Amino acid sequence: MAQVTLDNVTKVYPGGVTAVRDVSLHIADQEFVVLVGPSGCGKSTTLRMVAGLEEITGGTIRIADRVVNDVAPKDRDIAMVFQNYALYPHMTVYKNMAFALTLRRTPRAEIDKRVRQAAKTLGIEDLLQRKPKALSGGQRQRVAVGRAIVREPKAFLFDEPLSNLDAKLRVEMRAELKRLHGQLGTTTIYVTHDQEEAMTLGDRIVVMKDGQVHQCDAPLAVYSRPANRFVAGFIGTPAMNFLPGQLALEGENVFFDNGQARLALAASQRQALRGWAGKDVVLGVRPEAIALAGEGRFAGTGNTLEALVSVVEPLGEKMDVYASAGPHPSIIARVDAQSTLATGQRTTFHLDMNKVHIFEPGEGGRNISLSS
Amino acid sequence: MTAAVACAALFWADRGREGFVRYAAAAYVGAGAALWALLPVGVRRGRLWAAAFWALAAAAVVPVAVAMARFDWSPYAYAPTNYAFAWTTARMGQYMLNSLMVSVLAVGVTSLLASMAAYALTRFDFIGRNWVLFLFIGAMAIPIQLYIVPLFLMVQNWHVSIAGVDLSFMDSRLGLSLIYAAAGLPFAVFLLTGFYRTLPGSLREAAAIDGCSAWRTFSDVYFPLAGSGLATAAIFQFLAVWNEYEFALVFLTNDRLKTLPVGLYNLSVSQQFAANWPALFAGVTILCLPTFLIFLVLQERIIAGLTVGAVKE
Repeated sequence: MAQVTLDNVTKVYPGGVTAVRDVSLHIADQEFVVLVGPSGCGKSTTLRMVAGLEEITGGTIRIADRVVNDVAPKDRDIAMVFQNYALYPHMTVYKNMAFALTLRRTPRAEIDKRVRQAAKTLGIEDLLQRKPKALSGGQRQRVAVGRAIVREPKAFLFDEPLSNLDAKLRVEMRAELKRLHGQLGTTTIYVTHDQEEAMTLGDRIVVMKDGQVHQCDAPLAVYSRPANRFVAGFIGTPAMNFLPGQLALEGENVFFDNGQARLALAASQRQALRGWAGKDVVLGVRPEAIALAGEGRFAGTGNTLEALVSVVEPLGEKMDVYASAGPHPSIIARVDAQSTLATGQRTTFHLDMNKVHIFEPGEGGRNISLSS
Repeated sequence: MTAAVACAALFWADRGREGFVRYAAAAYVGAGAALWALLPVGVRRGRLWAAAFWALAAAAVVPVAVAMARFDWSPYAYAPTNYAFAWTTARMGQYMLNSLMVSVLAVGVTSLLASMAAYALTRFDFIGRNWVLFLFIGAMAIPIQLYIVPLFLMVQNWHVSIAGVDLSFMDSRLGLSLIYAAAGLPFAVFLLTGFYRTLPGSLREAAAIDGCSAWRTFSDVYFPLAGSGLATAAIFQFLAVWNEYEFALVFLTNDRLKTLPVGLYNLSVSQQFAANWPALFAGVTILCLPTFLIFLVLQERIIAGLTVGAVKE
């Protein structure tokens, strides 16, 4: 077990494509860090550089205070779980798990002990003599994890390990991985494109895009205090709503105005936003921070949007309401389920102004309401 | 096909005698050729069967009719003495042994070298990789007849003495099998690169992390997985070596060392004058039998090898 440190790590592929740009991360001992981002954001490349499967163009990577830039994967003392499991098809489960230890000339009794213990932890004791092709997807995934844990490495690296599983199994395995981490306490770096997986698993999550780290923080902090518009839109489902408009100053109060509605921003944000009066900004509000007028939640003045319902998606306890509001063709609100709302109906949304964010204009606009 | 056309030409030259037999046999060969050509590509399995059958039928049955000017569809006597004659007096037993030694060695060397080359060509990134592959594929386009003379001139003076035993390429089963191995490499490499490409690259990464050296990755992970591709390459090489005539004729002069095809030719020359056709055909059968058995047992595998990489499973 060990800490993993990346300092200004850069990866440029032959041909000039920069996959990872100046990434610095410090992963503490026993920490579970999730790299998340859309495909092509450089998260897998970053992980593969830590594993030693990709050469590092610039910067340094340290595992347990040892610079590993030029160390072969096998000497880095890390174990990796691949998206397609990468089990050796011609070996039994037992041999798959024992292979790395065999190569390291571990005594046979020790190998046997560790393999059986890992198999017990993962509930695959009955499968040890089978070949991978005789296993289901979930079982293969367990074997792949088992192959990693018998090594007792300094760090686990997971490269989208659950994306080949069906939805139900994915949730199960997710919980299992979390339990396993609690049990073993091994430093873990986990790559996924699924923000929900990132939120549920990580002690910290690292949101990446275009080879750069956009935010690195605890899951709830990333959720409630997104550093920029990209992070805000990427984390959380349904995605955050973005309304372009302008800021206006009126005495002590700061208002967001988009021509149709006039929203009074929370007192806590006034200080940060005062300098932006008269400028174009983007207001972000999560679907969960919007309520219907009749619900009573967030009721007040200076926080209403008139909307025309276009689609209603009941989810059980909650429902998603897709509506247009003035110039915005689509705003999503996650409200308490009620049967009365119908397509084509006019309604009023109430916004939780304490959970509204103001961003600079542009796709990756900085969150300017945070600085308080 | 070639056999059928040759036989048909023979009939044409021989026309005017025993009209009925000629026409019947010509129809037989013609129908076979037509059937062979018309079989839809999709029915490969059937086509292979047809190929095996017609090769045998055209080679065995037709010349009998021509030479003896008399043809009987039904065997009327069982004469195992013909086989005994071919096996011992005509030395087919010795030739069979030689053929086996040469084939096994050539197949082994080709399979091992080709699988290593194919692994390197698919899994390592190095400058000129595509050129090397291109050279292998290009070599497939050169017929052996084209380089048989330069090859002869090149190796005729090569000698190695190991522990007092003088090894040479001339008149040596070992030498001949090495030549066969070299000649078979291009196709085997071509076939196996296609096969190795179908194996997931992530296995190599998993092996690298598990602690395999480059050699262990090949020997412990990829080589065991290449089984079916390797079997296909080995079968093709075996068939090619088993039936090879020209190299064996040129490089082996000692009768004791000759392989089956050359030996069979000797038998046919000598039996032409003795008119001992049954013994000759016993020899033909001995030659064909292993090939035929391989087809019977392994045809599924041969087909599977041909279509490897065509679809993702």
